[in-house]
Amino acid sequence: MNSPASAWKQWLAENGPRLLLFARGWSNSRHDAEDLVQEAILRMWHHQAEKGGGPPDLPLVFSTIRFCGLNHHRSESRRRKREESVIYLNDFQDVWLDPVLEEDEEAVILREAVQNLSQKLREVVVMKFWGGLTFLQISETLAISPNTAASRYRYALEQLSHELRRVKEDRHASA
Amino acid sequence: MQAPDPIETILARLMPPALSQDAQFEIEAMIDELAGPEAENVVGISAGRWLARVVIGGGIAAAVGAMFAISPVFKGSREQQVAVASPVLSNSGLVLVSESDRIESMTDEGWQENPDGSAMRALRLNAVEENNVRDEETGMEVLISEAREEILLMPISAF
Repeated sequence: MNSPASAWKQWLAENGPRLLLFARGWSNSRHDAEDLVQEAILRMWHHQAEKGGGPPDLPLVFSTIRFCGLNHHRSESRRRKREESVIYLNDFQDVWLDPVLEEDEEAVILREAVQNLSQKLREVVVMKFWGGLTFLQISETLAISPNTAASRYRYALEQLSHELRRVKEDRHASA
Repeated sequence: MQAPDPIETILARLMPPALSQDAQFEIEAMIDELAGPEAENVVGISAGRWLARVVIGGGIAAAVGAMFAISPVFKGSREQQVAVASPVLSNSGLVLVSESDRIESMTDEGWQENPDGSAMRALRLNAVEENNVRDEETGMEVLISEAREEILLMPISAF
């Protein structure tokens, strides 16, 4: 039988990328997102200790990352107010998603579009598409109804579709 | 089955990147630290170490027995059993040669709430009391073994 540590490491290897992607929505950088994942796992470890010590269900971890992210966001907002002169620059390589194929123009456009979705829509898309959660699980994580979760997902796909069409038309027009 | 939206088909060509090696290492180190020593590093007591078991078991029994003696909160009174047994022994011509009371197993039952709202930790004990008695007339010795289950409630003073 696997030790708890082995089970958790295996679980981390399977789910780390999707947790990181979700955490990106609550962080300024990849590094901050990884810290957020680590904090959530620490909280989950103590939480699961009373339930046999095994790895947790994904919806609960998403929810915990969101909670930790909210806390960080609040303290970050306060810090930013104090340090208004600081300029935040995006690292060129610091992307949320990697295209599976090289030179996949559509995928790269959608990657930007996903990052630019509103927080509400992006959370649902990430949890549904890359997290593999059902609308019911998403609704429990975000404390919304399953219908609202499904509506947000459909609306997000419409926005992504619209953005893809717009960018492609612009590029063809300028070519 | 519903056909995927064309956008979903493109989204499927995007994958979330893995955690960086540093982050993966840090989290795994944290898990190791939280988990403590691996189970395989813990040395089990082999069958040949029965003496150690007896000594350790006796120590536990003695400790729990001492708790029985000083704690008013356990269910199932041992004193009552002794009080009933002794007159029978004295009237039947039987002499108590030796007695023992050992704990066979102990299970942590978690927390329980008292009627006054205070928290108690419950331990379920399987104990065996053995009395070796001798019949004065015939000289025969008889071993009387009585298994019982008790719940020990201990006040929780620290969280």
